[in-house]
This record gives sequence, structure tokens and C-alpha cells, in this order.
Amino acid sequence: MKILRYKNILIFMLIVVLLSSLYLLGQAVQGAEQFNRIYLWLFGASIIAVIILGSVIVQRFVWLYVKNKKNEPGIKLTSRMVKTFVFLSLPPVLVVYLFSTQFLNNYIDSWFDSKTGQALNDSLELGQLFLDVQTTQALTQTKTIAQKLSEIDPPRQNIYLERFLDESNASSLVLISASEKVVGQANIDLLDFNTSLPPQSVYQRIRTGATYARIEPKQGSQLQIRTLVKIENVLNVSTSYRFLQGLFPIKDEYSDLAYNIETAYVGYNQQKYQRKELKKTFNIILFLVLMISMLLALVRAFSSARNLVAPVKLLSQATQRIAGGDYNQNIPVSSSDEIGFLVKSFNTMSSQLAASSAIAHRAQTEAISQKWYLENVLSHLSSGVLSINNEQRILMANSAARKILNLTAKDIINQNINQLNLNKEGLTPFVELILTKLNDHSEEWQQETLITENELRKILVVRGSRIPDHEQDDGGMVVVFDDQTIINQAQRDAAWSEVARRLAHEVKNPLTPIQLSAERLRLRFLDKMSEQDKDILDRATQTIVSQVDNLKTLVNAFSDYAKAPELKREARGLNKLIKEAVDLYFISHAGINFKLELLDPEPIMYIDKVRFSQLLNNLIKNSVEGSDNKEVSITITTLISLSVENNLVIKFSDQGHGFTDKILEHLFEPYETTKSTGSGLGLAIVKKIVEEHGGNIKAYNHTNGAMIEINLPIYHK
Amino acid sequence: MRIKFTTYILSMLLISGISCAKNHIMLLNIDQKDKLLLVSTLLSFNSSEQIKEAIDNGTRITVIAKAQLYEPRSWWFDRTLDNKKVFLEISYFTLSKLYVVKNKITGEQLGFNDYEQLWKEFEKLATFTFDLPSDSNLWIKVRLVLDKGALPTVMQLPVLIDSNWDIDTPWHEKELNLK
Repeated sequence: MKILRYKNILIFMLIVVLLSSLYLLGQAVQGAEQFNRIYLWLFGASIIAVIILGSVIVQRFVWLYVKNKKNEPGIKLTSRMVKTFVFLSLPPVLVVYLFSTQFLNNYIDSWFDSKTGQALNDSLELGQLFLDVQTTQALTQTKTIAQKLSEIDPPRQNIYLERFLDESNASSLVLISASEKVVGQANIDLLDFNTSLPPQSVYQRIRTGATYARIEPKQGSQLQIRTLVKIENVLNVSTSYRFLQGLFPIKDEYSDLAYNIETAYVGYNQQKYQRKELKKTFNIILFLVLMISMLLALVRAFSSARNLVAPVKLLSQATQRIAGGDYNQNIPVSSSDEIGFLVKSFNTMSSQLAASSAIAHRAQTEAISQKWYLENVLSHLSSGVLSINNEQRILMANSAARKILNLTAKDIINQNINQLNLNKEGLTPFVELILTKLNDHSEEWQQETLITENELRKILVVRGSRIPDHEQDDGGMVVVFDDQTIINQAQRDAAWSEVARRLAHEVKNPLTPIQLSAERLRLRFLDKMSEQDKDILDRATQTIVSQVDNLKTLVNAFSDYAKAPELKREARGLNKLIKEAVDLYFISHAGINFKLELLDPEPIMYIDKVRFSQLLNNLIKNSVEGSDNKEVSITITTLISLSVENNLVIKFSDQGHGFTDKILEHLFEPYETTKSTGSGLGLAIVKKIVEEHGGNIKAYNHTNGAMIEINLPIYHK
Repeated sequence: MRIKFTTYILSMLLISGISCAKNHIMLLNIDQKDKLLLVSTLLSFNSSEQIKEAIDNGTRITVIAKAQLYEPRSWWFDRTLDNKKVFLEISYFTLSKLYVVKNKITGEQLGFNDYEQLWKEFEKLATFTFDLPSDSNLWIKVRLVLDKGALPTVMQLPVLIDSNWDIDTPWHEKELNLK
């Protein structure tokens, strides 16, 4: 802005200099003496100023071209305005220029009409005729004096000069030697010693016998007649001859008139001679004026265009910024005209837009916040949530859904629900249920379904709710589902515990009286009975006592399952407990091959030693009892879990017949056993102990038998 | 390309230099009289028809005879001791068809019937008088130039670009061998 101001000042100064130069040029051409000496400088300054101004204009045009190429805002309008200014200003200036030059040329020609020239020529001729008479008279007088002087002895000629001067009209008589040196003189003005002599060439002519008489300008308007004649050497006293120069003044009244004629004639002739140059000069000055007018018009055009376009450019730029989302635009109002009104209106509009944008932005932020909050809530839900549109595309799935279905976000989001079915066959019931409900247009529904994952079965409780089309573009359905497997299991466990507790309570109480009663009957009546009856009683009471013992064992097992003792956990390793359990069976049960693959160093677990020993015993016992062969091979492996962080995996595998599919479904439930003997509570108790320690258990078949896998959290490694 | 251009420019300058030097001072006469140094010139001076035409039509032209007494210095500007200028105005007196040369400072003038004769005797007016310098190793140089600023305004610009009006002589230098 500052640079622009300086530039404008510079251009203004340039214009002032240029106009001043042109004015002075005009004055100089019209004959002003004071400007005659600086004419060329003024002309040079004008040309330089025009060149600079022209350069400024060229620079502006280049600027316009470059900006036009870049398609800058407002540049098209600027170009149009410059064109308009030029086309508006150029024709009148050109017309004035052409008419001025034409008029000036004709006017200058009109100065020199033939009558004036003829009159001046006649005047000059008249003056010459008059002066010729005067000159002839002066020459005659000079010749007469020279004749007289020739009759005088040369050394004495000087003496007679004064007399001859007085007798003649001459103002000065000068005796000049043959070698053109002044040898004597007589002047009316006694103080005039600077006698001017004729040029050398005149003497040459006089020597040949000619005479010399010419009118000469003197000082101011004064004229004088110079005569020169040869003084012959009549007396032959000396060999040399002499010259006599006479200066004859012309009377002031004649002199003034002659001088005036001379001046007028010369002036006229000079003007006539310089007519061409005068025309050229005026034409050049007029051309300079034309150039300045054009350049000024262009400068003004650029300046006006810039002033007019500046707010438009600002408006355009601000509009672009608003289009880019920056609504807070305020353009300075530089005028009170329509443009100013437009700028004001724009500012009002932009401030209103900014306010609206702020409100919209706040609303958007709130919406995003709510969305984020909803996603956060959904991600923290243990229930799986799916959002499916009418085109069967899954739009949203929370982390619980992915976890339950064991799929990644990429596998679910934006996938057709049928794709789940293709990826995992186990999900077929779940997918089919949802598709059915989608096709049924069911509003709200709830249904239990079963999915399988690596031979593990999951019970899902699925609830669905239709999203009305008017609430969402695609409509669709929200499906919420929970993995009920654990809950169902827990409910069954709780039920079994209750059953066991009641059974233990109801059965255990009468067992002791039964046993005691049977033993009492035997003691009292055994000796009193016949041998035959005695045998029967003995065998009957033995059976009762034996069965009561069996019942007691069973009841105790139920009691253990129903009411576990309080855990007494301690930090310790598992290796020693495993080895003790193995040793116990290795000694008491011949033919069992144990293979131990235990971690060393072992991780520290937080466990109840007694309960865990019970777990190990149950598992080993289960493997031993479940084997058909006398040779039993059991492998116990401990390893760090790769899937769950900070977990230890304990694997029990045998070389038996494995689990049937039917058994696998309810393996850890009470009374599920493949053995003919036993309570069927062994694995149920194992599962309970594992869960009491915060772990989980699963069973499956490997290539040569059954595998039970326990996951337990590590206390520290 | 650059060498070609430079050669062209140098050639043009040489040609223009030669054309400028069509008038020149042939000889400088330096006389010592009392305590004065009298310098006169011998010219080879030719005037064009255009100049004669201008004078015949009443244009007064002024020739400036410049003389400079100086001490030359190597690799630096010369030291000027004295400068003299003689302004000689040439005009045509129509009443008696006389060409008049006038020293504008002293008022001394000569009238010539013949234009050619004027230039032949022009050198007589281009004389200079200097005070006798005390320094040795001094030089004097003289040149004649047309006073374009003294011409009528409308003539000044055409004269500037018309070679017929180029009557300027180059500097003629001569060492002062003072005894």
C-alpha cells in the first residue's frame, strides 16, 4: 500500500515535470529568449518523462497480461475498464491532435503570403538604392582625399589627414601601409583608438585597382559606410603605395529606417526559412502532448479501474474464502457509493453466515459428540449390536458383536450379511434368523439361536427392532444379541448345586440311622436266627451298610459340588502340585504312562493348593477311568497362552477313545459320564474349581484321544 | 554474436568519429610577448551549403573557440590552469550583402563579401591571450564548436541530428615549450 502511494506520487511528479517542460517548450518555440538556451534540455526531459511514463504503462499492461493469465479475481473487469477508458479517451485526443496540426500548419503558411514578401523586398531594394547613393558619395569623397594625399609626400600625409577629415563627411580616416599596417589616422572621436580594418581579402582586390565601399552595421541600429581606396605613389618619393580607409556615418534617421528594414526583412526571411522546422517542432510538441494525453488517460484508466475493482476483488476473494468455509469475512468500506453499499451488505451477510455456521458447527459437534458417546456406549456394551439396512448391508457393529461372532471389523462393516454366512458356516443359524426377520418386516422380535465356533457352541439370545424408513434413509433393523452360553451354564450350575445341596441334605440325614439300624438288626437278630435266616440277614445288612456307604460317598461328592470350601489362595508354582498328583497315581496305579511337558522356570499362580490338587486328581482319575486299555498314557503340558495375555494353559491329553459329540455338549455338567461307575461330578467339580480361580476350561478331541485345556491367569511370571 | 555486435558498435563509433573530424585545427601558433601568451590557430574549416543557406536567410550562428591551458596527468584528469572562450557570431547583412563575423565579447567585427573568404579568414578572430604561466610541462588545446543553444529554438533539434551542421573540430593539443 505504501509502495503504491509512493508510486502514485512519483507518477504525479513525473506528469507535473512533463507538463511544465511542455509549457516551457511552447514558450521557447514562441521565441522566449530565456528558454532558448534550455530548449534542448527541456525537450530531452520531456522525452525521458514520456519514456518513463510509457514504461510505467507498459509495465501496467504486462501486469494486466500476467494477472489475466493467472485469472486473478477482478482482472477481467480491470481489463474491460482499461479498454473502455482507452476507447473513450483516445478518439477525442486524436481528433484534437489532427485538427491542431492541420490548423497550425495552415496558420504558419498563412504568415508568408507573397504580398508581404514583395513589400519587404521592395523596401529592402529602396533602402539599398538610398544607401548606394550614400555609399557612392562616400567613395567619391574617399577617392578625392586619396587623390589629394597621393600628391603629398608620404611622410607628411598624416598631417593633412585631420584637414581632409574636417572637409569630408567621414568620421574616421586611416592611412594603411602596403603591408596592411596602420600608419596614420584621424578620428572625429579623439578617444577612439580601436580602428577596425577591413579583412585581408579586401586589400587584395584594392591592389588590383578596384575600390571598396560597403554599408556595415555598427552598434545598435547604427550603420556606417566603410570605404577603401589605394593611394598611388605619384611623387615616387618612395617605392611603396598606401591605402586610405574612410568610415562614414549615416544619419541616425536614415540609419534607423534602414536598420528597421533590414531587421524586418531578415526576421521575415528567417521565419520563412524556418517554416518547415517550425512546423516540425510544433508537430513534435503536439505529438508529445498527444502522447501525454494518451498516457495520462491510460494511467487514469488503470488507477480508476484499480479503485473500482479493488472492492470487487476483495469481494471475490472473500466469497472464495466463504466458499472454502471461512465465513468470518469483513471487507473495509472505502466508499459511500453503490459499491460501498454492496460491501456493507456483504459484510452483514458474511457475519450472519458466520453466526449460522457457528450454530451449525456447534450442532455438528454435538452430533459428533453424541455419535462418539453412542459408539463409546456401544463399545462398552457386553451385548453385540448390529445395524443392518434394508439392502442387507451391515452398517455398524460394536466390538462386542465382533467378539461374540469372532470376526474383525473389516469382515463385518459394510458387508452383506450373507457374507458372514460364507465366511463362517457356524454363523448360518444367526444369519438366517436375521434375514428371515428382515424379510418378515418384523417390528420387534426376540429369539434364541445356536452358533458353533471351532466345535464350541454358543447360545445367542437375539433381539431385533425395525428402524422405520422415515427415520433413516435406508430403513433397516437393529439387532442386539447376547452370548447366553455362560449364563445358561451358570444357571445350570446353580441349579445343579441346589439339587446337590438338597439331595445331600435330604439323603445324608437318614443314611446314618439306616446304617446304624441295619447294624443293630444284625447284632440283635443274627445269633437268634437259623443258619439259613442268619445268612440272609447277614447278607442283607451287609448290603444295606455297603449301599449306605456308597450313598454317603455320593452325598459327600454332591456336598462338595454344592458347597465349595472357602479358597485359601497362595502364590506358588504348579509344577510341584502336578508332579505330586502324578506320583500318587504312578505308585497306586500301575501301567499309567505320564508324560510331563512343564514350563521351566514356571510362572507363579495364585491358587488354593488343596482345591487344585483335587482338580488334578479328578482330571487324572477321569483319564484313567475313561480309558479302555490297561495301558494309559497321559500327557500334561503347561505353556504360556498365545491368544490371551498373561494366561497359562494347562493341557491334559490321553490316548483314549475321546468324547462323543453328545457328551461334549454337556461334559462339564453333573451326571455326564461315559463310565459305568462314578458320580459324574468329577469334571463338573473341575470346571467349578477352574472358574473359582478365574479361569476357563474346554474339552475337545485331538487325533488320538481327548484333550482338556484349562486357561488360568498368571499371578506373575 | 557478442563479438560481432561489439565490432559493429566500434565501427560505427569510428565512422562517426571520422565524420566529426571533417573540420580541424591544423596548427597552433604560440607566441610569447612580454608576460602574455598569444595563441593563434590555423584552421582547415569547411562549411556546408545548409549552414550558408541558413546564414543567407538571416540565421545568426555562433561558433565558440575554446582554449584550455592544462597540465596533463597520467591515469587521472588533467589539471586545468586557465580556460578561454571566444564567441564568434556570423550573420548576413542584407542591405550590403555582407557576411559579418563579430566577436561577441570585444565587439570587433569583420565584413566579407564572399562566404568562402569568411571561413578562410575566420582563424584570425580565433586568437587567445593567456597570462604567461610559471609552470613547466604545460599544454594548450584548442577547439571550435557550434553553439547550438544560440541558434533559434526551432533549429536546435534538427541541427542536433543533421550531420551538415556538424562543424565541431576535435581538440588540437600542443605542448608549451617555454624558454
